[in-house]
Amino acid sequence: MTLTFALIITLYMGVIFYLGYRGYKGTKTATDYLLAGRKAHPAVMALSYGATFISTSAIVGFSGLSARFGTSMMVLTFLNIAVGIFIAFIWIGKRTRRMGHHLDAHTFPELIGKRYRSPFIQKFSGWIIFIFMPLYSATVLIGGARFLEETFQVNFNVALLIFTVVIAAYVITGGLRGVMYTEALQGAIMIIGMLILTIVAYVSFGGVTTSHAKLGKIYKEVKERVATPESNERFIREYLNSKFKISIQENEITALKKQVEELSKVSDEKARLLAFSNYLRDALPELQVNQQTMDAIWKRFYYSQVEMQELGKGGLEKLGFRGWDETPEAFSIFWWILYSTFVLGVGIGVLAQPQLAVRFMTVKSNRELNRAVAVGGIFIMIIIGSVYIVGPLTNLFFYNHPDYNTISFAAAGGNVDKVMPLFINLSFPKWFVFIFMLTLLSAAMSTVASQFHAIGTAVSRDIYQRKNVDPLEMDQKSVFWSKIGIVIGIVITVILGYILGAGVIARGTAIFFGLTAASFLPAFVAGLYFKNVTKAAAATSIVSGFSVSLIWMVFFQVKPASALGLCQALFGKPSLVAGTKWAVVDPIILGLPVAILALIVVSFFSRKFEKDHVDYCFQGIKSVK
Amino acid sequence: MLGFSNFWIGLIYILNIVAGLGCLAYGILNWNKGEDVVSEEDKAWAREEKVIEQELN
Repeated sequence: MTLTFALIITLYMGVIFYLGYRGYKGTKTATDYLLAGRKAHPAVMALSYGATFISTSAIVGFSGLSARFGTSMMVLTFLNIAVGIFIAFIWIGKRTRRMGHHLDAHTFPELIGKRYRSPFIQKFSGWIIFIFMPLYSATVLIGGARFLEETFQVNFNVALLIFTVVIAAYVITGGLRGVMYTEALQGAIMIIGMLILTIVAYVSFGGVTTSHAKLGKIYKEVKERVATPESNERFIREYLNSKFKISIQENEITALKKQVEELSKVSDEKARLLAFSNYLRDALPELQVNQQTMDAIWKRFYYSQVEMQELGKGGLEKLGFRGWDETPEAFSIFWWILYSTFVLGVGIGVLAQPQLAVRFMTVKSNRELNRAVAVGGIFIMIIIGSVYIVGPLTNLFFYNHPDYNTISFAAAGGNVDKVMPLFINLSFPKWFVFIFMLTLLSAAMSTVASQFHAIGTAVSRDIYQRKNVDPLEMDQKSVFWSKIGIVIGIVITVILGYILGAGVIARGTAIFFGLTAASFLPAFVAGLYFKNVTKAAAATSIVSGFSVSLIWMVFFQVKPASALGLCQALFGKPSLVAGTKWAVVDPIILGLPVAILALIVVSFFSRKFEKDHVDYCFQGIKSVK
Repeated sequence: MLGFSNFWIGLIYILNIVAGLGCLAYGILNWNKGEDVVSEEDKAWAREEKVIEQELN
């Protein structure tokens, strides 16, 4: 089986590298480069944009998160289509393309740097990308590694190394930007993989409406059985009696539970197993004590414990969670976590993603963008739509599975990043698992390639700026520094992949998206629409948006603050607002308004650009003011 | 709606499909709209982009 998979992977990589080589060799002149866009189907551009945007982060990380938090995350699907495709392509993309070509800008920092005639803005933005993009790249690698870990039953660290090597090989040899055709192929594989996943899931659970209804039903059933410690024990007792055809009494189950709790403090696994088997032989003589039965009993207590923590009194419900097919209680802690961090951060942040914005400049004309909206919209609807439906539905699978009979979060050992890999490996034949592996590889490759391209150009063009050098001359120093930049980026990425803990994919992604949104979005969008924005205003906006977000993340938002530990070290608590709702408010809620305000206010008081410069930027573009 | 106990969840589900189809409709309606001229500026940009690609590789 592993041999078959190795063969399929080799074939796939062969096709990818061949397409990359063909495409790379095929562009003889610069006009070919652009004219290729004339001949290339708009589906190619849209699929390659989509493949860059969507990575393992969505397919593994966010879907796993939705297995825990439910279908209220579907709002993100809507935002990804309406904002990520429609608004991005039409309202941002067209102007970015035109202005980018006027200004001869090849990177995102260069675009805003030249628009505002500010080397400082270009450099500062370049540094933001260089330092923080590796976090996002790391989450993509972790997503792939989690899947490898489950599929081949290898240690996570080994899986991460393998996945990184494969991706790095592609990025270095296949071309950092990747050729549009290879990414379009990757996008096509992603659609097929996710469509099969969703259709099979719906069919196996009894159809669309039935599946949704079952979600609500099993939520209530699990909630009922963990409503009190007594009901929980009663359930476990009935469960074990039924499973092993024995008759444990009420007092015996309480004693058994205590024993499990005691033994879970024993770190020596052999000693624990021995003690447990001795206890069972003594307490439950009718039970056939072996590895299997011990495992099943142990797991049952573990799963029930997690169920209680999640759905019992004092669990997620206390935070405002109401079920997998319910919206959270408005303005509750859970509401703030869900909507400010995951939905708003990613939903809006997509507009200020450097590695996506540059793609608009490679498009030949607005006509291509119009056409790409059609393909892009459907692509995101299918892929992201699948993510936030299949995620919650995995609960149906694990609830009815004889080895689990529990919620997805418990089955995955409390790590949301493990939900999808586990689900797919258990419920699909190996051939589909391989196809899905290719889906993930495709998603990761295209995204990571664009991320490292952004890191590389951030170093060579934005941070290390060549002055008075003909841009067409190969500058040895800048080539050297760009390669160094990429190597450092990869190394930091891998290190982060190893040290970041469980369930970090969605959060890590949201951090990066939120940070770039607060830093860049106001200055970027205003630069495309308003002639009156000044250099000082843009610089102030970017620095203030970034600073406020970072400070909030390090000292206030409890999850990243406690992970970093600086606040604890300096002030003796995990967050300066620990215990209040503010501790779960995302930095973007503060950073973005601050950046917008700074932009507007400073623009009033600072010197405007000469008419010539602004008119040139806006040639062929209608400005608002 | 659609089996969901909460109306708003069902609505979002439908809105997602509407949004996707809306993008499809927009693209089809504007299939041939938008200028299609490759200017000298565009060519110069592409030339430099190629150099950057080579540098990074």
